[in-house]
Amino acid sequence: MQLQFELKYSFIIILIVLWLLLSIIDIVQGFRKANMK
Amino acid sequence: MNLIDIYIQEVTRRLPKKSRDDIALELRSTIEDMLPENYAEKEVKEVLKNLGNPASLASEYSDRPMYLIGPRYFDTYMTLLKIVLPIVAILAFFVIIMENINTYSGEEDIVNGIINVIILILGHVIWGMISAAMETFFWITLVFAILERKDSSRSKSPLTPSWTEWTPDDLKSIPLITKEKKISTGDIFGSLLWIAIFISVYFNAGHLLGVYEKVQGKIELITPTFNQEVLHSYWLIVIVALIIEIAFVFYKLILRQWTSKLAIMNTVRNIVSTLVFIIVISNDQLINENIISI
Repeated sequence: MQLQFELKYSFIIILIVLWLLLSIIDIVQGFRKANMK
Repeated sequence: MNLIDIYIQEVTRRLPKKSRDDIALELRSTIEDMLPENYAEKEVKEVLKNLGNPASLASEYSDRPMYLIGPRYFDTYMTLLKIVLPIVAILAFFVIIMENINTYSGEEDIVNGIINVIILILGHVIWGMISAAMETFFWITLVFAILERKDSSRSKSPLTPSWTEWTPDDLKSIPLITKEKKISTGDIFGSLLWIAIFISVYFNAGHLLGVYEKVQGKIELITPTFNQEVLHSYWLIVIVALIIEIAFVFYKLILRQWTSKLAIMNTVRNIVSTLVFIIVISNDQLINENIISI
């Protein structure tokens, strides 16, 4: 039961971290392209 | 003589009834002036050849264009079509996908499921996109054809998108788009495709994502990964996030280049979608308990 709980939450945390990482990359890319000469 | 009569008939039948008799008389006297006193058929043919095709001559008399959309409006017409047609086709794509998500029963058998999705795409989506684009094309063309005929100005120079005569000052309002800042069409369509895939998967996750097993020769979804009721319960915030995403793509389509304002909007869009994602995924009931115990 404890293992299931940990598995579930580590899966959710991995997904959130991945999503955050992709969003940050996308935001930075947007600003980088906007400020290009 | 006969040839002259037929020629006059061919010209006047293309003209409004009330002006036919006057123009017939005028045309006859013009032809007769051009002919020598004792003329033969050869001379008549020569004169008629000089006057040209009856359709062209009729068009000159009636002052009506011999084309649907002429040089004055053609560029504006094409620009508008290029902007509006993809938007209409994309909107039709989403509307039809949304309409069919509710009617899609969700076959448990993956092979039947895939076949159904292909039929859905071919049958509804492509046809819907084509018919929406055709209808838009028809109405835009009709409006421009009327404009062409109602325009009293004699100018043949193309109009600018702001509907005025071109001046060098018009160049000031056009941004110079560098290669680095440019937003490609591929980028825009990629974003829209991704949104479409997301909508399809999100609202069908219960019978698409999960553990598949072969049961009596058929591959079937045994345990779905996500709880579809939980996903459906967040429909409102998901739709709001999707509307923001779609609006952002259209804004990119209009701007066609990265600007600071667009980058800020991109940040807002990312924050909204991240918040929605965290709200949905942090629900305890979202992931099917059975999938973890497999």
